[in-house]
Amino acid sequence: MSTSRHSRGAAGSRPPSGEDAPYAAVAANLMKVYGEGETEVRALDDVSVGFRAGEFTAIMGPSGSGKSTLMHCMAGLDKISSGSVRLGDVELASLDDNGLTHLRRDRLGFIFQAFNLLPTLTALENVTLPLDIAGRRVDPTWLDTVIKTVGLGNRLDHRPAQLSGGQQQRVACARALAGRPEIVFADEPTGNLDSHSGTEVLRFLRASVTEFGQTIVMVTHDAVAASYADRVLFLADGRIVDDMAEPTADRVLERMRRFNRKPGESATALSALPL
Amino acid sequence: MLRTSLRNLVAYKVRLALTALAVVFGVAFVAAVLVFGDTLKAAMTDAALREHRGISVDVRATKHSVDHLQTPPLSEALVGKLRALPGAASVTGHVTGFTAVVDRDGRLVGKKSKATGANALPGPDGKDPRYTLTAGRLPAKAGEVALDTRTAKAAKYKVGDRIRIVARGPVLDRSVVGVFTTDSAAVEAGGSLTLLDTATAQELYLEPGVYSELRLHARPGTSQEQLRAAAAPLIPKGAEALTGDALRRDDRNKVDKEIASLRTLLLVFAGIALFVGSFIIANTFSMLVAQRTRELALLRAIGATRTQVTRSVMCEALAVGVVAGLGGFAIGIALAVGLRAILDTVGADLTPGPTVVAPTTALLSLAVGIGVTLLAAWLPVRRAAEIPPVAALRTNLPPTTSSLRRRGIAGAITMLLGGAVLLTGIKGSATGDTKVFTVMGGAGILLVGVIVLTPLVSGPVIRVFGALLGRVYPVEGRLAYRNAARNPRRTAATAAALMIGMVLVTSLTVFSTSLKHLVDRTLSKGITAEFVLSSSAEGQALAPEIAATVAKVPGVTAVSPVRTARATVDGKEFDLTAVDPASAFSVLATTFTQGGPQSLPTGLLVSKQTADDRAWRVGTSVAVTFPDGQRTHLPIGGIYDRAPLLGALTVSLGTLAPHIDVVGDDFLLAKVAPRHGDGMRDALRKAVGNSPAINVQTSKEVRKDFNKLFDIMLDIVYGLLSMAIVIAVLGVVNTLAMSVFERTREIGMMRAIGLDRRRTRRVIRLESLIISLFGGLLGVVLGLIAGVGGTKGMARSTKDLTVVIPWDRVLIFLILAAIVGVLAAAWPARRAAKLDVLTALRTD
Repeated sequence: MSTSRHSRGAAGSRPPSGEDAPYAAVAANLMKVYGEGETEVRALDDVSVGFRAGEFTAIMGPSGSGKSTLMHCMAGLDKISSGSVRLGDVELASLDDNGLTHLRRDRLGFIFQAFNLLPTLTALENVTLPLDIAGRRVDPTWLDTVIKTVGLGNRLDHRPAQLSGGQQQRVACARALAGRPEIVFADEPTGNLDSHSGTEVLRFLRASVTEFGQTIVMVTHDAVAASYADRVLFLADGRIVDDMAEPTADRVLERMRRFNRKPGESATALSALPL
Repeated sequence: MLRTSLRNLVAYKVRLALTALAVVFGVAFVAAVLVFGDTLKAAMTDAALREHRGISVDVRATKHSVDHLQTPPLSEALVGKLRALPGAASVTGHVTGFTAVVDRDGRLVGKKSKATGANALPGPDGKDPRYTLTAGRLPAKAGEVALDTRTAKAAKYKVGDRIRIVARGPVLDRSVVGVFTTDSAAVEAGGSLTLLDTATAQELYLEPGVYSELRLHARPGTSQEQLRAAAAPLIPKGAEALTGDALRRDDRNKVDKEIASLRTLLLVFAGIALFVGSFIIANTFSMLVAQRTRELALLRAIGATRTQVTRSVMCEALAVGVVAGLGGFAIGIALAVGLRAILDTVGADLTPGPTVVAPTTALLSLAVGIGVTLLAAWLPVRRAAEIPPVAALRTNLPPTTSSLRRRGIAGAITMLLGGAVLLTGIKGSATGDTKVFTVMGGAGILLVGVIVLTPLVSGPVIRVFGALLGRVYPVEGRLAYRNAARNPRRTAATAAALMIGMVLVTSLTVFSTSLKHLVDRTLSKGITAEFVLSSSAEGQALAPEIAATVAKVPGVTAVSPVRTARATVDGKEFDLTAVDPASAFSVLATTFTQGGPQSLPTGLLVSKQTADDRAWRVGTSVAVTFPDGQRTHLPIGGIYDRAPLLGALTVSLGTLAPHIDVVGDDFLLAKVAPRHGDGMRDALRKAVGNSPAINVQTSKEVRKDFNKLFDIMLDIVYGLLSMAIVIAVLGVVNTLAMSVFERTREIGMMRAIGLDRRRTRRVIRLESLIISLFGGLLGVVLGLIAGVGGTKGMARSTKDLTVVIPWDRVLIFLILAAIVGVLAAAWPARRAAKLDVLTALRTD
């Protein structure tokens, strides 16, 4: 299983992705610095990257490599120190807190490791929450499709506490997709799930990209999870150190293993990379 | 374990500080009452003792004799006899009464109730050792007065000025012959002291040759007791001799009693504040324990016993209690000092003296702070001990699902019990204090029952609020209401704190408004006189000659004085009202159920209630013991149903006159001929010499005065209850802060998926509004029930009392509850909105 490729579908039947598709989000010379002087930490060090529409990208890297920071900056959750982040035609740095909030509300979707459902709302209410907040009308056909795809049909009236972890994360996925966002950001979506539930969620994410042309950026440290993506970005010390297309779990694992070598070795290994 | 407690105190310092504040306010209230009471008591005792210092034996009229309007039997002859006692060094005769000084603008100087007149007692050197003259000399003959410096300064009078003074009768012209300093209690309390020559004072206050008090000073070698024993055989009936020590003890007791009743009243309100505060404590500790379930379970898992866990949390409660006790004590002192300063600036003129902070106040503050906190924390802390060690291992903590059924049953039983007691009180045969206490006790038990039941009620009520809010703010309204409904116990406990204050405010408002309307209606229907004359100094009677003067004013068709005296009728003491049979019923509208006023000149009229109570009928002859001790039988000639100003029993002035010495009219009712309306007031004022000590009011103005009195009382009650409301606000703040803290990650998520700051604040604010409106609505509804019930209960014994609900006020209370909600949400809502999205998302 771990070595198998996941049905990304034939290149031709896929919605626009790959070289010809437009970029849904672009970061240019992105810097994110914490602290000052002696204690300065460069979480992101001159990162330039683009995410094409209809592409499923996984971001990997060791702890502290800046993978989450990159996602947070791309998603308008974190302020960048310098550089630029563009979402479609919008420069994130030009937006204030309200602007960012409304951007997230109207154009992005989120899936968190800890599910983050509101315990007081039913599954269905959780799914439609972003739309409700935006005051947008729910498209019943689309909602139906999403709910069917995640397989929640008979649990819509349940409260999160009455659902299993996998079910909760499926609600969270449906919530992220309900508003047809331009990009869904998923932060370790399988981190809190057993492998069976994790697989279900990953299949669903894969399907949403393949069937609906959804753009997904997912941070993960699980090679298997990454293998569901179209492309894997590897980060280390705040820089992109590798960009792998058509990943398999084995190739990802092999690449990750190289991070675990001793500093001296990794330095040579890094210098050998075609950057 | 102690270290764990201390660490937790630090970790939760803001929340615990807020909680402590809830108790601090209650304790501060208690401490302030105690300090204020002690300070006032010390000052008043000091002033009273100063007045009586050096007296070996005091001879004065007995209380009975004073109450029964008898002239004190202290004659010049008695003074002579006492002087002849071998142990007596000196005997002085004193006469005191009401006298006020009129300033150049025709107003009375100083506090009317403390306006005093007394006879000067110049010694051979022309000086009175009690007073130090700063100018001039002491009055020696009629027409002369000396004024205390404060009064002289206030009115800008100096020696040689012609001034006007008033006693009970008409305005008197006098010339100032001296100005003196005094430490007399009356002057220190904002009154005035006018010294007169003895003969004039006797004439004004008593009758020639009679004193109101004799003071004996013993020769060296004669003890107070010896002198008293020697004097005792000479003392006539109606007077008593007591040693200086006993006199001063009596002074102390009088002050103690006065302060004690004030203190009790204030402590009741402090108790309410503490009761409300205890809810906040209980609620906070419930929240803290719930929040720390895993941590406490971990302690249990690694080997802490239940007792240790309990003790650890109780230690925190103890620390909060100590802080609250000490803080409350300190703030209480400041409050007491501040209150005095405020009262002084508004002219209350309390007897001055240093602030007294008794050690017992400190101890009591601490004890109350600790006691209330520990008591309130006890139940939630016990729940902490029941957390099983395995809870430490559960990742998803199950919500507290413990059924509300037991609570429901307990609440229902309590309510039934309270309702039963209340009904017994209202319908039962008990009267007077017993009835009031039964009704109040029943209402109290009922309230406790309701408090127990609030979590069950909260669901449906909050759902309605949620539905309403959802119409305006679909998303925020729903989020807010679901949160409020998430933990019904917590929401209910928070709302209950506000509810208690609201119940009291509402019920007292209904009760007071109903009473106010009753008095207003009774006066407007019952008094047919156009004008009412009364003394402007509280409790002072009008000299009888004023009635005669008023009767002569052209246009006045009838004048009836109203006097009261105490008499024993058929074995029970009653207030006897005496009116002029010729004119009384032309100025008072009275309905008789039996008989009529014709028999008044020689008979007795009684109120229907008294007649029913005593089973008297027209024609019954009852035994009456008059103030002077004379007994007679009077026939009952009429029973009146509705008669304002007439008490239980009414006799004619003529019947009462022979039995009382001190004649004065409580007020005069004057009916004027039509077309004399305008200018009549000026005519009447002129007739009484434009005396500022006499109020000439239309009956409408009298009603307005009464209404104002009710309003002032209600305002004071509002002021005293405001502390309970403030504490309840703290409770709401606390609950919301807790709610924001617990839901940090939820808030982070909502912010991430697109809820902006403004709307995040709104969610918290709406939740606060729901809790506050729930408390407010419940409080107002229960307050209305209690107020209406109380009023109806009283209506059974007080004819014509109908329930009046001031809907405008009720609406204001609900608006107030809403304002409380918005205010309480300010800080927690800001905190929620300010949360950093990423940090919030990372929170456990």
